[in-house]
Amino acid sequence: MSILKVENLKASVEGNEILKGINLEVKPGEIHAIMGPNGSGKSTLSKVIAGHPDYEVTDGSIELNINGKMQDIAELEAYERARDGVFLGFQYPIEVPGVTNIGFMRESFNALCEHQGADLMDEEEFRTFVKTKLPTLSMSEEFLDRAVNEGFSGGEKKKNEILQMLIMNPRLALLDETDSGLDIDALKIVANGVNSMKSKFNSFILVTHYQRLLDYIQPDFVHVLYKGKIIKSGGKELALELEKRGYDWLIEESK
Amino acid sequence: MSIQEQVKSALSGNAFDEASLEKFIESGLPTKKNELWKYTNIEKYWPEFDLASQAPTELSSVDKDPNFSHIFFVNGQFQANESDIAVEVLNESNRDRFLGAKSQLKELLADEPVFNLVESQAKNQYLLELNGVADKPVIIHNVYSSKVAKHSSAHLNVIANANSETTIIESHTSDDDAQSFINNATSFYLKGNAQATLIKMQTLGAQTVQVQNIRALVSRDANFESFTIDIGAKLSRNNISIRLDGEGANCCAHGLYTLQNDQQSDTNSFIHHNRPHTESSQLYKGIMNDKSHGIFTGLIRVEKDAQLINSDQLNKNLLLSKGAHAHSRPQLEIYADDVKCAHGSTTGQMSDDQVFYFEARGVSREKAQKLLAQAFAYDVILKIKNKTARIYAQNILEQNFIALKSE
Repeated sequence: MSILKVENLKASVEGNEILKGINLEVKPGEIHAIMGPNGSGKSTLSKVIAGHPDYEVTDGSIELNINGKMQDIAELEAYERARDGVFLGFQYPIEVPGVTNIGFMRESFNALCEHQGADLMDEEEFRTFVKTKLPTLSMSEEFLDRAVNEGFSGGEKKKNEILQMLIMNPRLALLDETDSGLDIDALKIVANGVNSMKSKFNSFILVTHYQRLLDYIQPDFVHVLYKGKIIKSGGKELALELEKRGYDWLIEESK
Repeated sequence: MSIQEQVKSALSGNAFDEASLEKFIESGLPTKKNELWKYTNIEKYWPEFDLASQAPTELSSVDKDPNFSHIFFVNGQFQANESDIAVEVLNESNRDRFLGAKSQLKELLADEPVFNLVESQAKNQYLLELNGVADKPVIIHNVYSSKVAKHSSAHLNVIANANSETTIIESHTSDDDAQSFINNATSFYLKGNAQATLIKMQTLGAQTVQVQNIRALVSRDANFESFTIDIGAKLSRNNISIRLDGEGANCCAHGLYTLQNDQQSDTNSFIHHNRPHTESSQLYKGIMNDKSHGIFTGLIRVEKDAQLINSDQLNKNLLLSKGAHAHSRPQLEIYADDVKCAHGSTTGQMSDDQVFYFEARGVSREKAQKLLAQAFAYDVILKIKNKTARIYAQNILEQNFIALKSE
């Protein structure tokens, strides 16, 4: 059984159709990379799966494996999808002044616990739990008590996204250009975070511009998105070919 | 009868301060032509001036948290039996101790009609003296019962003696059906190196009107901090006037108003830098829902020889619905040439991006909006230095936090 099954997905924002019929199936344990030129709809795809309210699904379906059953989540609110195991790593993580990072994470962690009928964690327990995740990302405890992403560098913001992912332990992680703007050290740390969570029970969709990320995270499938459609799918060798030849040959081929 | 005539017939011959009464009879209530009352038509809220029906004043129940010292006022009248600290009635014999020492204090809010009205009334004029470093904060419980006369007035004059250090919470609560027009004043005279913090926590019932006049004369090296937290009342109005009157004198004047339905809150602050090397800081935040209206007018005046002063003022408003509105008027009057002054104002809606960030992490939209509004508000509360008082304020805010609607 799959974790995610997207069929003929069409979505628009303010009346402009961005996704024009996407088909994608993701099975447990798989890593899928979505590549493509600017404006092809890569980020939109991850936002639509996560339930961003600005996008309207006009056709097709998004099915998620919830407790062993495939269910259409296209009408669910973003927070409901998150509680059912979907995680969106933001391309531009949001700053939230006045809310501490650890307070923010505890709020979301407990929302998930409550949904799953598990015991909630108090502040102390939660801090102890979060601290076990910090070394993987070379983060210091000081980050927990700062306001969410406020005054963080670009790399720190992305590491903070991965920290949240490790805490929430989703079944499906959508990472939207998590590698953009990272230096090689930060990139290795982010990849390390992903690899530490990867198991046969969860899956990843990596939206990326650069083949470089895939040197550190091995994808099982690479999909090329162009003008709202997947024009080519392949194994990780496709990414290497794209690195060498660019996208033009594929665009020509698809015409 | 006009309002002037009502007041004249009730108070003439037995006014606390005849000059103030004369001024009020001359001016009447402020109208919208008065720049400082541009957005609030106070006359609309004025019930007939009838002091004869003053209700019996007694406390129904007393709950004393041992972390604080307690003082009780019911409908403006001091309750000696319940209070931990003695408050004197201000009279001819002790009056000079307070006002006589510093005639400058008389100049603060001298042209404010509603303050002149407080000074016109002989009833409920009190004096409180602060000495030494208080071991716990003081709560002044101002309770208004529904049987009260339509008008309630009280003036607490506080002398903070040299080197004293006190945090005072002024809580204002009422029965839900109380319909009073409450016009109060709290005046501080801080002597050298005194530290005093005044935190007004106003959670009055939805039918009440409250005007609060806060005055402070701050001497050399003294520090005055005022917080006006308005959560309840149909209309709340703060007149704040602080004069930094000695080198090294500092003040903060912070405020928070969280409003819903057709509530209105209007703050007018005036910080007067009268001596060099003085500092002031102000942060006023408003959260407006439904059709509520928040107003802030803040004037900073720096006198010619008050060089090397530092002053900042910021007003930030968060509008939660289309019908809510905010007015913000920061003003500077600077006659010195070597000063640092910054002021600013922002008004905006809740960020959709921030709400979605919470949602993407499993937190419901409603909860996200509430957490974000609280974070916006806590900025002000976190400036309360005394931890016990800060937690108290935080709890009150949490209990009363306005219900948010998602649109």
